[in-house]
Amino acid sequence: MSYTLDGWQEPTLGENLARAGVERRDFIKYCSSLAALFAASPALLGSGTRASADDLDGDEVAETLAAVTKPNVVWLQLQECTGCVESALRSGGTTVEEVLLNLLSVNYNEAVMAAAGAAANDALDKTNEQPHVLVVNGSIPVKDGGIYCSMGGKSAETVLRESAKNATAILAVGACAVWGSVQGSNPNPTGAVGVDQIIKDKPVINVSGCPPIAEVITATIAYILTHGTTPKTDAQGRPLFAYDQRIHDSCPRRPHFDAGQYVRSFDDEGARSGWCLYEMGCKGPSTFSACPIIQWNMHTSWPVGAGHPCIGCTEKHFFDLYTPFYRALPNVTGLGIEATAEQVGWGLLGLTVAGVAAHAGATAIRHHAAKKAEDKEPLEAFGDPQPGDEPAAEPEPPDEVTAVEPPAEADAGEGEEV
Amino acid sequence: MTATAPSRAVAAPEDVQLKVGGAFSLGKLSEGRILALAAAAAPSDTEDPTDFAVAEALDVRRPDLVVSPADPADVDPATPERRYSVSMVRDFPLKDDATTDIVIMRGALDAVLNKVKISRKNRSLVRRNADWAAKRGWRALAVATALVGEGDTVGEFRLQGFVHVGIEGVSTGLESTGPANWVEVPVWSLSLRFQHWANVATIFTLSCSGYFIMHPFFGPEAHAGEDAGFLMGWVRFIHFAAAAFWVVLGITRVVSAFVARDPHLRWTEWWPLKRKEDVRNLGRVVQHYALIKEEAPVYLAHNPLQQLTYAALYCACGLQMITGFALFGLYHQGNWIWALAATPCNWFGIPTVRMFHTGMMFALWMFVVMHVYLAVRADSLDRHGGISSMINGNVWLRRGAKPVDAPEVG
Repeated sequence: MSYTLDGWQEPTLGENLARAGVERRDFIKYCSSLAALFAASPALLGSGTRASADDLDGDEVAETLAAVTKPNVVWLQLQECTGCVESALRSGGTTVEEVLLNLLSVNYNEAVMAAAGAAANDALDKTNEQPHVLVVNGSIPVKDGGIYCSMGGKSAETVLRESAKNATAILAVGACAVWGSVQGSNPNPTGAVGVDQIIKDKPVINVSGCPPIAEVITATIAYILTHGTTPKTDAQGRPLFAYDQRIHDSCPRRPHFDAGQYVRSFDDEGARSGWCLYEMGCKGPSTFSACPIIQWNMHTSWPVGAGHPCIGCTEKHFFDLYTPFYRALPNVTGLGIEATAEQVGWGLLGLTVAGVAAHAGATAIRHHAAKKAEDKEPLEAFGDPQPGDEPAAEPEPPDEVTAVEPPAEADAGEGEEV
Repeated sequence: MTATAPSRAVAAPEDVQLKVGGAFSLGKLSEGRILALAAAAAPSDTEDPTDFAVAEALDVRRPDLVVSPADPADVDPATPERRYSVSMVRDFPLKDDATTDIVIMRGALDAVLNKVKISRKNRSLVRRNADWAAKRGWRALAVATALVGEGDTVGEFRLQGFVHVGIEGVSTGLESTGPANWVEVPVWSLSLRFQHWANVATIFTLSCSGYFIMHPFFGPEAHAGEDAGFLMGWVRFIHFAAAAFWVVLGITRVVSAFVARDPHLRWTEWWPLKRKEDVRNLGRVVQHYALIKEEAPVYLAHNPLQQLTYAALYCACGLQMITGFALFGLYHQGNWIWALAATPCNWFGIPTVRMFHTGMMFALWMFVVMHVYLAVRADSLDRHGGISSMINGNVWLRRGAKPVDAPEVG
């Protein structure tokens, strides 16, 4: 598939897509997949009361989406690596998603816009004055007056606040915009924070991931355009339609987990057999994302599919909380060494046993000493050596014993009844 | 051991009474028969307090065994050089109303051991028992016998055992095991004992399965064409099933803490510090465990340190349930109950909750090590039957003991 794009020329999105050469068949297919993504979400099904807005089928999504008139989008790139835009744009060739994205009239985006300098700033200011959809990549460094990231003489925070003022919907796309990502991790030298820590008066949709899946980004935008509202989110502000399931629970390697078949090292037979990466520190059991289902680059592959454990990049503070990436549990710090929880656990257990043994030994010694101290010497018996006595001579054996021969019947064993 | 040398026969002061605390039997003879042998060896004209004590003990313990003392002419008394006597006893009663003539050797254990035929194994056994008795203030009065054959020939001497001889009024710890001095007090109700052992079984199951979930250290090897099985699946099922049972167990325990009639089941058992004296007792108990103080206040049920520890244990188990449900709930985020259960994961991060859950398991293991040690220690030092009370519910206290948390015993 390939489409030619001339920007937004027709009144509605549908007409623009037709002009670009997108067949209605392809568009319906795309919209059906969106509808499936939105509506098949177990979170929404499981709640029992399916929201009416989610009852859309593919045709309805197509109708609604096609009738959208020139949505303006400001796509800011703040303190980040452009990986999210790369993910969104290089989703495996020219796709309907990409065309849709380009037709969204992205009036301002540092990576892809043609304008530069004052013209670019003008475009931003003009779009900021109208209602628009705000997409943010990158974190906002707030330390030292925000000097660590600035555009056109304005700090990232100022740029964000200006763009957020008239925004109808705000999407924080990527781990940086959600919580700060690597630069926001300990010790966070630039004071990097996520969008929802700056913009608190409007709901922020966190499309998390490092980077997020392109389809999830466009699906979130499409959801807003078709429903007119923001999607339901989880406790971390992530749209539930894409983040309601753990990677672990839809992982194609899950049967190996249940069977107890684990990769023990990256070059073992299990790794070649595509077994579960749990023992290699896979964070799939702790990570919510649609990665195993949607995958990357036109469903080509994804990290676990390629044999690498999940690092948990859709979770907040994963650089601090989900490391070391190749171990199942975080390390225990603060003991002067970094050790696994298992090592520390066994160590403490050993110390406990040693302590108990020491206490038992001390108890025995004290008990023995107490017994000695008490006046419990045995009753002095007849013949005990007395002070001043000469050592007793070897006693002579009694006559009775030596004088007689044992009778035959005396062979009875010890303890015979007498 | 007769009164041939009164000044040295018994070194104890005149006003001291001797007592006999039973006997050790090496072979098949009962304690009573050992006593009977020791009594029969005494000459009829004895003035030795040991002989009186042995005769009295026999009379009290086995009034059915009547023996007549030996003819003084048949007794070769002990001397300072030969510390045992040899007595010829005629018509000594046997079990089946028969009688026999025997020679009884009676005296210091070492001296008797030199003269008897005894295997090395039995020699060691007798010495150990004599040493043990000596530590408790008992002197071993050895008793050996030989049969008399045709023409008054005497066979080889065989050691039958020894009699415990001690001084009246000195506590030896042996006589006190009688039912008269110790009182069996019911403490632990059946439901609490069930709780205890059900918890032991459940925590054991949860620990084993949980450890495997943390670190699946064994599993199928890579072989083609083999049924892969469902190892982790079953381990997780066992973990979740045991956890569900544990929660039910915990709920019943908490409910019983508020509705139970038995004071040892009630919630007040989890908070010992109700009066100033309780705080002081807590300090005394801590000093006792720290080996600073010899004596600790007597508690019938749990002492204050135990109560605080068990309160902390209940909290730890509760946290273990909460974090367990938080992790289990991750699977069902569409359901609001499980989403609510998983809330701690949003506060602290999922790996932190996992690590806490793991760390708490190791903490419980440490508790188990100390708990078992202290239970065995308390039972062996206090001899209150604490370990058997975990099964039969009853502890043993000395009559007249005044526990802090219960009425006077007896």
